[in-house]
Amino acid sequence: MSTYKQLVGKYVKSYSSDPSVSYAEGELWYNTSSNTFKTSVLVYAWASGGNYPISVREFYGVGTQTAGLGFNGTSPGGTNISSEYNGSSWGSVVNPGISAIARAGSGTQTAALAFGGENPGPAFTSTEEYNGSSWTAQNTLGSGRYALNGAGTQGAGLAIGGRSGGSSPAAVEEYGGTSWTSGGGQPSGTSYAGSCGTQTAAIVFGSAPSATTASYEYDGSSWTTGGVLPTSVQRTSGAGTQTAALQAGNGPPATGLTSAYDGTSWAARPSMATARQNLASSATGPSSASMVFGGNPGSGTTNATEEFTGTATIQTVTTS
Amino acid sequence: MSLFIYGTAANTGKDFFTYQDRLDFYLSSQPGNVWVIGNNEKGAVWLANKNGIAKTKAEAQAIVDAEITAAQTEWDATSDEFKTKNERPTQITLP
Repeated sequence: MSTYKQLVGKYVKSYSSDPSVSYAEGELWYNTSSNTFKTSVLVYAWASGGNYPISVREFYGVGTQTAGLGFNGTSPGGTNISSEYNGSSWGSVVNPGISAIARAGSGTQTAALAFGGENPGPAFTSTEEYNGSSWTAQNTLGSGRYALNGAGTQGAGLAIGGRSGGSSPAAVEEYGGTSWTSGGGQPSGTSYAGSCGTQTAAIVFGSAPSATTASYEYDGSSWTTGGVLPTSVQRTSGAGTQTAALQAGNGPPATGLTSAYDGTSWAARPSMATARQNLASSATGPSSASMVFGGNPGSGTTNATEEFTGTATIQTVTTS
Repeated sequence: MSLFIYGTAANTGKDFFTYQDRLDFYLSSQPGNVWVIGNNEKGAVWLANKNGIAKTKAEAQAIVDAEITAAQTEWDATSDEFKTKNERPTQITLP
């Protein structure tokens, strides 16, 4: 029979009391007081956050769980509303320059970029920058698109796929701080997908109208196939990085489906309490402490916010 | 004993349900402020603490059905362009 030393390369340490809960995830030790083996694992769950100022769907979010930004969407009808989140409540409304549905973005709460969309009609090429207090129009996208995805920062943004008319172009454009240039085209066009990461290390997953388990990774010039999602998704959201991503939401029919990516493979995570599609997320924040808000729960729209957290928890190892 | 209890309660936002709540009992929001809650002591206490109104499964299903029917009627009245981009709401059967 193999020993722990043979399997892991080190002996099991013994402690009279449990070490700090922040002890490395997956570590195993023997508690000599309780005569039990123990380990530290991350336990994930969604909790409710402050409600968004309006019920809205087909909009976008950037930032983190404690410094988020949401903008535009349909309520129904295109809106020009944006609001900042501080970890417990959404602040006063600031108006982007245009009303837009299915826009995308990148950046942070105080340095954001918004681009594309529709209202409805021809897809927009509009680009706007947010500085924490107001939105300012910038040079436009090369091709108008809605239901596209974003990644990166305000000064180094990425516009991925989307729809133009009835088709889904595989176009990718990179923002350099003042203007857009062509990036590496997608293997196949995505729309209403989830995405996160940076301009040179992005990931996009799912697509509409045919939900898919496919994900694709971008290195700044070309796309390669990523890990396969546990379930086909569309009209979903993303947060995190290319090697630590979170997917949340799916539909129709709306579900609270959540899964996480480690750069190689996807794994299921606990579902949201409110099933929803066409939601927004803190797309540029870490996946282990992210949030989602708004969306379509199957009928109409919601203003519900949920916060996703992984907490290190000490557990006793049993044989059952 | 049934797996779930049902009730209506308005989501008031932050801390309406907590990380620990989600570890303690199943919780799912449905149209019409309907909540499907794991049938244990902590789930029942949560509904009471949120000023929720307990419903039978049939009552909860009727609320959800009415919401979906209204959403379908609204969808039926939308433009063809909207319909090509948004699927008609479908019935939800509570667990």
